[in-house]
Parts: sequence; C-alpha cells; structure tokens
Amino acid sequence: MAKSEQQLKMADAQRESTAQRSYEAYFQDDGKQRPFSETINRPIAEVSAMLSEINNFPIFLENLEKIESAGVTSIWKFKNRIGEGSFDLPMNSSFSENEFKFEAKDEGGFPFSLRINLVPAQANRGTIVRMRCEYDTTAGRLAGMVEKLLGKDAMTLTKLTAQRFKALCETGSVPTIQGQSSGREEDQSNDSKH
Amino acid sequence: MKALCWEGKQKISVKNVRDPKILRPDDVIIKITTAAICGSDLHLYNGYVPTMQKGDIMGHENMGEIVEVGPAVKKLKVGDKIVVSFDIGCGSCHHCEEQEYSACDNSNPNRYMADALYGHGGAGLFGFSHLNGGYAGGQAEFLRVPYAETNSVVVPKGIADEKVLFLSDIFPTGWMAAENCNIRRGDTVAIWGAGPVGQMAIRSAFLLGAERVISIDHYENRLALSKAAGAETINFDQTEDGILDELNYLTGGVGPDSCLDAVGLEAHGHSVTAMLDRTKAAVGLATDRPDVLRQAIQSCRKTGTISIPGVYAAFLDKVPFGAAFAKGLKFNMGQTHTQKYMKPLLQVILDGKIDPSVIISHRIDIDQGPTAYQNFHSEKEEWRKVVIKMH
Ligand SMILES: NC(=O)c1ccc[n+]([C@@H]2O[C@H](COP(=O)([O-])OP(=O)(O)OC[C@H]3O[C@@H](n4cnc5c(N)ncnc54)[C@H](O)[C@@H]3O)[C@@H](O)[C@H]2O)c1
Ligand SMILES: [Zn+2]
Ligand SMILES: [Zn+2]
Repeated sequence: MAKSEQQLKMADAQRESTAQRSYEAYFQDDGKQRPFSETINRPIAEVSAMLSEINNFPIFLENLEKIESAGVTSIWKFKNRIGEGSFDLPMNSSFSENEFKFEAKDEGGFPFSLRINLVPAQANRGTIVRMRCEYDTTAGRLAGMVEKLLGKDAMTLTKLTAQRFKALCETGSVPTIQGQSSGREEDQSNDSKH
Repeated sequence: MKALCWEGKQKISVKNVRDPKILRPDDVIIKITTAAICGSDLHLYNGYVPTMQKGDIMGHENMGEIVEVGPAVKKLKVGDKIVVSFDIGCGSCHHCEEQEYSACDNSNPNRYMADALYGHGGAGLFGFSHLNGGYAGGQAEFLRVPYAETNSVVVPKGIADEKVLFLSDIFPTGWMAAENCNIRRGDTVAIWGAGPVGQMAIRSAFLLGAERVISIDHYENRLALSKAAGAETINFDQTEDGILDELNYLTGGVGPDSCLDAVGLEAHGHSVTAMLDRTKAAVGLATDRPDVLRQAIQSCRKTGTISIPGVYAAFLDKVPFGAAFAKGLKFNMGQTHTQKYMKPLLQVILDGKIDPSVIISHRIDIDQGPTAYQNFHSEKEEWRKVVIKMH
C-alpha cells in the first residue's frame, strides 16, 4: 500500500533529526559517517602538537612517503600500490581548535580526505582521537581506484592509521615487523653477522 | 642463521634465514642460548591458530645474550643475559602502565585485524601467527626483541639457563593461573593438565596457600611429577565420565574451591561431549574442544573460581553456562602478563622455592627440532618439555 503524505513527512522528519544528531556527534561540518576512535594515553596538547607537525604524517599514514611544502596547501606523495613509483595529491588543510581536516583539491583527481578531532578522555586517560579517511562517497568508481592505489579500503586504512598514530604518540614510533627474518627468504650464505 | 619454520599443518623445518636486525630504536638482538617448545606451539603445529604463514619462525620461550642494542635502549647492554617474555608489551600504553602487558595496545602491528575477531585485539606475541603481530620467534640462533627494556629480565651470571628459561612463559603462566584462583589458605584446587603449565600451577598454588591440589591427566609419567610436588592425582582414563563424581568424593561433596584449566582447546577424552567436539572440529563445525572447561564448571564448588590459562581461540560449543550462573562462579583467564612476574619469580627461583627445570624431559639441538615437534605432539608420556640448546 502506498504511504500517505503524512507518513512520508514523518519519515523525512525522523531522518532529519537523526542526521542532526550525527551532525552534532561527528565532525563539525559533516556527519555522514561515524569516525573511528582510539584513546591515546597522552595529554591533548601533546597529541595536538603531534598532528600540527605535518612531517609526522608519513610515520603513521601507511603508503604516504612524504609531504612537500606544508601550510594550507601541500603535496602528499603516496606510494602507488598498483604501479611503480608514487603519485602526488595536492591537499588543502584546515585547522580549528582540536579539529584537523585535510582534503584533496579537485585538480588532484582523487577524492581523498582525512579528518581528525581530539577530545579529552574520561578518567584522566589522555585523549580520544576520532579519525576518518574517506575516498569519496559519491564517485564510486573513483573511490575504488583510490582503494587500489592505497591497497586498503577507507575504513581499514582509518583503523590502521589511528592505531599507528596512537602508537607514535605513546611510544615514539610505530610497531613493525617489516624487514624481519623469515623462512620465506632463505639465506644460503651461511655466515652470521654477529 | 638456522631457524625452525612453520611450513603448514604438522610440518616444521630447519631453514637458513637472514640474521635479524634492529628495526626500531628500542630493539635489541640476542644470541639465543636456550629456547623451548611450548604446549601452545602444538596448537600452531596442529593448525588450530589462523593466520600462520609458511616460513614463519616459531618459538616464544627464549633467552640469550645481547649482541646489539638499538639507540634508545638505556638499561640493557651488550653482553647482558636476558630472558624474554613471550608476549610483547610497549611499556607505555594504559594497559602496560597497569601491568596488563598481554593486553598491550601498541605492540601488535595487526591489531586492527584482531579487533575484528575479538572486539579488541591484544599484544603482539613472538612466533604466534600474524593475527598476533607476526613477530618472528626465537627457535633460531638469533632473535630481535622489540621494546626490549619492557620485555626482558636480566639474569645473574652463573645461573644455569634451564633454571630461569621458563620465566619467559610457563612459570609466570602457572603462577598467574594460581593467583587467578583466588586461593585462601586451606583451599582445594583442582588442576586439569599435568603438562608444564599444570606443573608450574601446582607448585604455585601450594606456595600461594592451597592445602590440597588435585592434578588430573592421563599420563602416569606426568602425574608422577604432580605427586612429587605434593598433589593428589586422578587419571581420567580410569574414571571415564566420572571426573565430577571423583572430585565430589575427594572433596566431601563440596567440589574444589577453584578449578584450573591448564589444557585449553585441544582437550582429550572419551566422554560423549569430547568425542562430539573432535568430530565437529574435524569437520569445521566448531573451532575449539572445550571438554575440560565443561568439567571444570560442573565440578567447581558453588561461588568458586574458574581459572583458565589453557588457550582458547574462537568458538566453544555446549559450555554449561547455566551451571556457571546457577553456582555464581567467577572466571579469570587470558594470556599471561609475563613481564609483571618475571622479576619476582626470578627471586622465587633464586631462593630455591621452585625449580622450574624439573619439567624438562628432552634436550636437543636445532636440527632435531622437526622430530621433537612430532614427538612432543604424539609421545606425550615421554616428551614432557623440550629445550633447544643453541649457543
Ligand atoms: N595463558 C597463557 O598465557 C599460556 C601460556 C602458555 C601455555 N598456555 C596454554 O596452557 C595449556 C597447557 O600448556 P602445556 O605446555 O602444559 O601443554 P601440554 O600439551 O604439554 O599439556 C597439556 C596436558 O593436558 C592433558 N590433557 C589433555 N586432555 C585432558 C583432559 N581432558 N583432562 C585433563 N588433562 C588433559 C594432556 O595429557 C597434557 O598432559 C595449553 O593450552 C597452552 O597453550 C597458555
Ligand atoms: Zn607458551
Ligand atoms: Zn603497551
């Protein structure tokens, strides 16, 4: 049975109020999707300072090789996971108190953004970082392209990035097994360096 | 260097691999002097733990001499002899600050994957699958130890490796499991599994005030070692489904004050449920075989405590939760916070109160590793604990 005019109106109102709630709960300028959050065992000023130093980003953002020319516009150089070398993404950044937003400029051709906000954690447990990487939600094909280039979907990259950022803040570096020995690469040389 | 590598279900081989190098500023490299094979390694060997990759280096019970230190390492130096905890703590997160090292937030580079399985993933572990960080293990000539100051204890010169090696895992595991029993002076503790963890738990339970310890297994050789530590014993092959009755009889109908499961997901047995478990696990309908846990819950006294150091990996079928609820049982479990116990338990060893080396049954060199795994899996009566002499 077709819905009455009134039922449709009520449904719209309901959707709007839900959107309003998430608008308030998530990032200031958009509440589309729930960010991922981690608690960092460091004071908010320290975490904020870590984010203000753009050269730290390649340490915790996988595949980001380096950032050239900081400031409002910068070039983020990502490792290309499907081809050789790297690709450049011109990014805009904006900061307000404890809120950080990095967004690819249109001319970059890749709809990539990273949003972060910080709030103090309860019980003196440091800082809650809320983070979301997005590869665009409208241009599906493009988003898929970025996913291939970066080797991960946006939610997985967000989780990994948030956890690596937490490790950097808490321990001064990120955990790694890159470069460790394994039986997948046998060594026939037989001489020990130690 | 030579290393024991996982090559698939029930296949371990000795390979020549690259020596490890410092990858982070707080790493050290040790020359392994002695390593051991753990009951937990058998879960990997038997293919119960997902995300192992061919070529992964095994081993999480390790000790050796430091040969190289990273630039951020201050409290350790080349030449120090250290025992290394099997779980890896970063030393700085909330959980490490609370001495809950196996719940470390930062040491597992793949925590986001473990989060998907467990809600919240735990610490990285040496040689224990990629879900647990994919760290190379120490059944090898050398080992990289990350966050080395947090994850090691320096042992005094002159003490035999075998006396202190088990500070890396099973001694703290048995101790924490006994602590998790909430023992009050005079209590009775029933312990399933008389393997290395069970043996350490028996001795720890007595030191922590238990008056009676009842050790349950089906290998007479292992039960003899339990007796030597003062425990009463039950051979479950001779009681069939009668563990509950036997424990009730031994405790005057009350049940043990605490029940400790030092067996975990590969329980053996002839009970109907145990056979069902084996069939289900074989056809992939269940992941774990929790027959011991069922018995522990059934036999524990009302309001008693269940302590579970035995490893469970995923889903458990037919666990009598109604009985646990009705009796108001308390549960304590988990990977050991090894680092919390290494120093105090080193003192227990130096004071001569517990000698963990009594559990060793075999000493091998690394080339005998593959056969040792096979025997440790299938000849449990004789093969109780294997140590690998490396340097
Ligand atoms: N929590 C931790 O941090 C931690 C650390 C180390 C080991 N573990 C786990 O502890 C458990 C024991 O380790 P281990 O090295 O002593 O292993 P093990 O395999 O040598 O010993 C297990 C013993 O349990 C006995 N057993 C099997 N089925 C039984 C049953 N139905 N009733 C009574 N006994 C039974 C076996 O006969 C064997 O003697 C394993 O699950 C291991 O993974 C946990
Ligand atoms: Zn172990
Ligand atoms: Zn930690």
